[in-house]
Amino acid sequence: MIIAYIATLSFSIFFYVHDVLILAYNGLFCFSLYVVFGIISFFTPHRLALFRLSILTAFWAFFSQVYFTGGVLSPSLAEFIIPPIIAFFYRPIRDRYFFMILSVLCAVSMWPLTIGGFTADYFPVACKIENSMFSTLFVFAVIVTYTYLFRKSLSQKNQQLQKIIKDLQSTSQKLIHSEKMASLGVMSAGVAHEINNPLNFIKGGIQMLSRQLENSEEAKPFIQAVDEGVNRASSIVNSLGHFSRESVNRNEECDIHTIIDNCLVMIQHKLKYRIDVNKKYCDARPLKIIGNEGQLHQAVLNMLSNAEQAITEKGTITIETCTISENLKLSIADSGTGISPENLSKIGDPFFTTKSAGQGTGLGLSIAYKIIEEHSGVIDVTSEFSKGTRFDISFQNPKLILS
Amino acid sequence: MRPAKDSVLFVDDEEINLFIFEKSFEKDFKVITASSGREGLDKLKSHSNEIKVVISDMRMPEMDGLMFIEEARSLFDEISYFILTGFSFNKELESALENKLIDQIFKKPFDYESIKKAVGLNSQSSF
Repeated sequence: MIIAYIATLSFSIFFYVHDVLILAYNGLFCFSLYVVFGIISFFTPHRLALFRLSILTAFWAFFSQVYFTGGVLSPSLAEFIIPPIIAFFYRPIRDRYFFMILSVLCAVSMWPLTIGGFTADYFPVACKIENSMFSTLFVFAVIVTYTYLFRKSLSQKNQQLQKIIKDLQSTSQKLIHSEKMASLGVMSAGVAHEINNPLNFIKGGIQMLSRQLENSEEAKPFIQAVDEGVNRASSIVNSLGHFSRESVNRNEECDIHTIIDNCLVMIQHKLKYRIDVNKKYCDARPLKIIGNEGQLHQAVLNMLSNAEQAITEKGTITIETCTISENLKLSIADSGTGISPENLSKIGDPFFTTKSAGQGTGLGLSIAYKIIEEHSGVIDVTSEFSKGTRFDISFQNPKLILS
Repeated sequence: MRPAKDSVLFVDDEEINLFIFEKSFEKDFKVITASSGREGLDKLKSHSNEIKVVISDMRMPEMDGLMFIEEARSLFDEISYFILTGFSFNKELESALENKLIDQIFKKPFDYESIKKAVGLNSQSSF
């Protein structure tokens, strides 16, 4: 902007010292330069507006010079008043106010000199002719600078817009997702209630039956089957409840290391002799965040059981924790079967499972995701087919307490 | 006059639930059933000297479990009030539990042992 100002000012001074005759010669050249500017501007992002601006400016430059060759008024004055006015009406160009100010400054600085043209006596004609070439170059410099700045501001604006569009898209994605989860919550609460009622009679009924058929060995397996069915159905229904929880107490101090250790104990029987657990805790001390201990237990347990289930025979699960500035990072990596790329985006979706019917509900990870999100955590998954999967969880600004 | 046996009032709008509950616990204590909050209040008034524990469903037409218990508690504060519900989590229930309006929440499908234990403790402690 400063360069443009200096260029414009210098150009004006040179322009001013021209004799009227030189102006007449220069007028045509200036006009063709403005036309060139117009053509160049054709390739700018907002070419239509710039093109019209340049054409108008060119016409004004030409006619003002022809009109004012009477010599009473130097053309520079009029020329620097009109472009800002033209620029004002070209709203697509964000920086038009700067150009207006710029031009007005030029005009004002030229003002005392332009009336009466009293420098005519101070400079010899030869000097003016010599300078005419320079003045033309300055005109060109100004045009190039303007064009460059216009283009730059436009492309910046373009980038900003693209960023806004991207943000909007991701926000709407998130909105859709949270809306989906919210409606799932409302639905699952209703379904859970409706299903639990009949489960209540089934369970109560089978308890009564088992009491009455206490001595019948034949009836036992059937009763056990019904009982198992009820228990399984009820645990699925209850896990749906996690989607409908509106509020839980989230101000407990939870030690991530203890939570991991507790969860490992819970799945110990599945890990034994089969899976090595490699713990890399950043600190022997407790690493506490503020949240809901029960929920975090469940999230970690779900992720660990998933890791365990991903390993078909023998393998390792690596658990790492570390703190980076305000963030707590937890990563759980397994050497299991991995997730295929087409499934990778779906693993957080409720009911998505690759397990056979009755083996998994497809709720485990989506519940873990929801809990972690509620604890302002971000999950990043990387997976390589037949090599394993790695979950990187980053709890942002978790109110870390190092004791 | 002392009642022969402590009773439990069970309120649920579903007949099958009432039947199952009554049959499940008939050996352990006397079960009085009511199929609505309104009926529950009438039964409470007529059996006020023997009912020690009230167990109510949450979602019922007209008067839900909490409304029923609120009204019942204003009449008979010394009774223990439980909710047996199919909801796994509910804000209202949570705050009712915090405000000591209800003593405990049981989830459907009901667990025979835990209800028996809770009722046993509460009916003894009220003597």
